[in-house]
Amino acid sequence: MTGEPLMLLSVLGHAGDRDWHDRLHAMEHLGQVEVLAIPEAEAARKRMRVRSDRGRDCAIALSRDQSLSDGAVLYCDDRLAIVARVDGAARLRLTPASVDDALRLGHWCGNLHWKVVFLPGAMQVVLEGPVQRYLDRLRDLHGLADFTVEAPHDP
Amino acid sequence: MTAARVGIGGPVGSGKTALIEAILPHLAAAGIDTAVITNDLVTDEDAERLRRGGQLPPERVLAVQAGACPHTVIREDPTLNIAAADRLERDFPGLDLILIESGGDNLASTFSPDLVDFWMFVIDVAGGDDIPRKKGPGILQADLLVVNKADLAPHVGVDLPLMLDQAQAVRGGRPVIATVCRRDQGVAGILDLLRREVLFR
Ligand SMILES: Nc1nc2c(ncn2[C@@H]2O[C@H](COP(=O)(O)OP(=O)(O)OP(=O)(O)O)[C@@H](O)[C@H]2O)c(=O)[nH]1
Ligand SMILES: [Mg+2]
Repeated sequence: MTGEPLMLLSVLGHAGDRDWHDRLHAMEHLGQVEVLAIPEAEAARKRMRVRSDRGRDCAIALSRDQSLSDGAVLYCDDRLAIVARVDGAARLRLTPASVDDALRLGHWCGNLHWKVVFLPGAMQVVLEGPVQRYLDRLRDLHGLADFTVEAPHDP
Repeated sequence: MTAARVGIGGPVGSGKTALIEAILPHLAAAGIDTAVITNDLVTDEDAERLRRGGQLPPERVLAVQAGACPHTVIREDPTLNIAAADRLERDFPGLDLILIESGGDNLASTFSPDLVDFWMFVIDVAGGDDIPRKKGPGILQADLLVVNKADLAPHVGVDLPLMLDQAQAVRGGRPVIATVCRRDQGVAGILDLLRREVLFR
């Protein structure tokens, strides 16, 4: 590695906030906004070394009470702004047929330490690896519980 | 800047504490201000060993007792370890790095990103060269896989280059480092990686 990374030590604001939105919009026209693409599974981290979409070497080191989210503004001066884009991970939607099936399914996914998002009557598993790895783990459960699996789609 | 928090997990006896003992002199030489948290089941065994070793002032080594499965306190509910890390940062302003050793566990153990910024999984050659092929979450998900006790390969019938190749393959090319922690081999490479990925200096 040559050169020092650009240190990004805090979340300054959010690209969706009114003030930031206008400022970033203007900077975007001047080609002054760089994006850090961060997979959802990595977004819980407080520190990481990443390259921006223009190849800039960046080092994120947030305080423990801050966190990365989509649109987090990590750097801004009069010539450069850096914004995080947290790409939603692919998800698997699991829908149990009954309460009994839901209990089995929930217990099973919990035992596997999967990251899930609860929806009315269903849950989404956030995929942190290839989908087949998840389908393999669900195979044995099909004999014990009645549920449907919807292949990955964007959140 | 806050102190980087780095997890060290892996099966019982793979050399997690030995790795800490081996890397502490490298960290000291690089001027990286370090503290350690050890996790054991119901004793402070590893913390006492590190304090006796004298490489760090004793108050820089804290012990957490998991009580039950070690992964519960590094993944499911890392509150005790987070509290210990916060305390170290309060007591030693300017701390650069906190190493957190998990109690010896199984191949499925992983660290919560709420607790650590980076974690490594330490396996040892004597556990068998089929361990990487078994693709446990620890092997697959760790930021770094350390294959320790490389010196034992000829004694336990392990083809080390093949084991390392397979480890690299199941990890999709993410870092794998072979070490002999007892003889300080490969340990400098771990420090280089930590400096690049989380210490940033
Ligand atoms: N031959 C050889 N032995 C080693 C090496 N590293 C560690 N050991 C030995 O392996 C044994 C276990 O090492 P530890 O460092 O206590 O392992 P650990 O992973 O911390 O163990 P737990 O915390 O109990 O899970 C000790 O007897 C070490 O001396 C190595 O590189 N080569
Ligand atoms: Mg130990």
